Amino acid sequence: VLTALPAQAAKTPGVSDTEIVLGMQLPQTGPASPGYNKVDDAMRAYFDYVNSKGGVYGRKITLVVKDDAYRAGQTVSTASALINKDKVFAMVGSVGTQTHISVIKDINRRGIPDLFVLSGYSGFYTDPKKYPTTFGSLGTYVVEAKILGKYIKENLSSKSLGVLYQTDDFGRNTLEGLAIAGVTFDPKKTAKFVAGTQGSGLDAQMKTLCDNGADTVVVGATASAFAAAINSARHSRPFLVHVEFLQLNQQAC
Amino acid sequence: MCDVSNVKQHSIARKSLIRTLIFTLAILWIGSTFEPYNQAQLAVVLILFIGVLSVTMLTGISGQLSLGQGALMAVGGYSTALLIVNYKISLWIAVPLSILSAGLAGLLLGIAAARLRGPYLAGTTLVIALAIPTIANEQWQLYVALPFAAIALFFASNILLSRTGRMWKSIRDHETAAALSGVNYSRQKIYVFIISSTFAGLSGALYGLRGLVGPSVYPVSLSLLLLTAAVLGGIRSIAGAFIGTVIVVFLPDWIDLVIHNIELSEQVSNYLPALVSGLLLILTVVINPAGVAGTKLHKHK
Repeated sequence: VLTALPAQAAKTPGVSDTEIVLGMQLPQTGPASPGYNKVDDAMRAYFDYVNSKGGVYGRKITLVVKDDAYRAGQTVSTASALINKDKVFAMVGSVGTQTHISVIKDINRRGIPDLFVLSGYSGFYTDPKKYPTTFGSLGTYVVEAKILGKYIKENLSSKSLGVLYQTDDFGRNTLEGLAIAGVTFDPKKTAKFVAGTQGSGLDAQMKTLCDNGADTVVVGATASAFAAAINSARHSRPFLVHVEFLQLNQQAC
Repeated sequence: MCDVSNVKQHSIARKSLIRTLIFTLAILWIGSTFEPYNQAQLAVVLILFIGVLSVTMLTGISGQLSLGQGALMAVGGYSTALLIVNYKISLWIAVPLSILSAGLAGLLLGIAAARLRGPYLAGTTLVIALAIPTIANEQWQLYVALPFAAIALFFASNILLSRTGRMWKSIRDHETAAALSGVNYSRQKIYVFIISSTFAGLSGALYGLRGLVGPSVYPVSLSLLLLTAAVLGGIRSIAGAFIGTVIVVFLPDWIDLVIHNIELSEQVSNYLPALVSGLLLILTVVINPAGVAGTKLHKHK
């Protein structure tokens, strides 16, 4: 993509002879932010390194970061700010499934490159014609969950399995992948929560799983929700024979 | 007697109409001078203004406290999305229908509320998310939101100026006194909930049309945002609702302008909008409880 730039630099927004402006939106505040709010720091560190070596064909990379707090209503506004105000050339590393669903159509309609999306939601990638400018950076959650499902089948078939997932396409993708591998769950050992609401803890969900006899829980949720689940599991440990977590998608949402 | 009340009703309608026309023209003029980003922000202002009006009527005028306006917005949003996606109904029919469904939800809330006093919380645990055909163009977001905001303003203004508005104020001030003056406060409370819910539903429907309808579009914090806007601007007036909405929507941008040239760590700058609006809220409640629009009134008293 970048090598094609010089020819069309004049009319491409966000690219001048000296600068390339990239935009990113992620939860820097709110319950989903722990773990994810460092993504921009890491990316900026690399861009600083590239810039210190002279940039890309003499152009320095500027990364503009907006906080959408993992709330899709806000993402629409931050995307509008990045596109219209900061005039970014491309969106990079946007974090979040539901947040990105709310803006992906608009980004593609404008023909803005939507690179390294940090969500493994299969709906973004399975039909390239639908979202031609979107490129992911993770395997899809379905594939990930399928691999986990295979592992569960081979190593944990004697366990009483429960599942905890967030009720968005991220969580549903997880269930889908596990089902492909033949891992399904007793509805009683299924617990869910609304994405981004784990700030108040997942005690109720873990208690339900535990009361219904689950000793191994698969979690399909963000990193901070996974942490909340572990914390809640500690509270209910006396009730559990054995807790083993299989974490899905720890490094992205 | 009949003639007099007719004349009065006409003058109320005329007054509301004039307000609405001035509002519409002002927004059109201001909107045309804005570049796309601020047009989109202005569209958000118009959409949330309708939601804040629902808080103004419910809490400011009638004295009923509900933190569930965001949930009623979700009812409006989900209704619109389901009608558009599943039944292929056009936006212009789906939005009015979803106003009805929000009104229905308000009726249920109101029936409960008529038997309750004091604060209670309506939570929401909606679990499905629907991507709907959205209005992506900033200018169109503005021009779709404007007629709805104008209609909402017209109705709100009419209600507040009329006998109904006075009845609601009497319920807020003293239920027993209101009852002694012939106000059936249980019934009026239900009406308040229905009407304020239709406003919230309309607001939610338009809010969803910006991009997505899902749990993360209507979080609990949205209800609090509406209440914050209403209190900052002045919870008892329509002008206050609008001023408050402008403040909460544009505050992050204004803060951005001020701190633009100051090197601040993300840990600080990310929390500034919430910090500043929190401070403003406390200052408003302590120093100027009538809000920006009520400043004059407050001094007068």
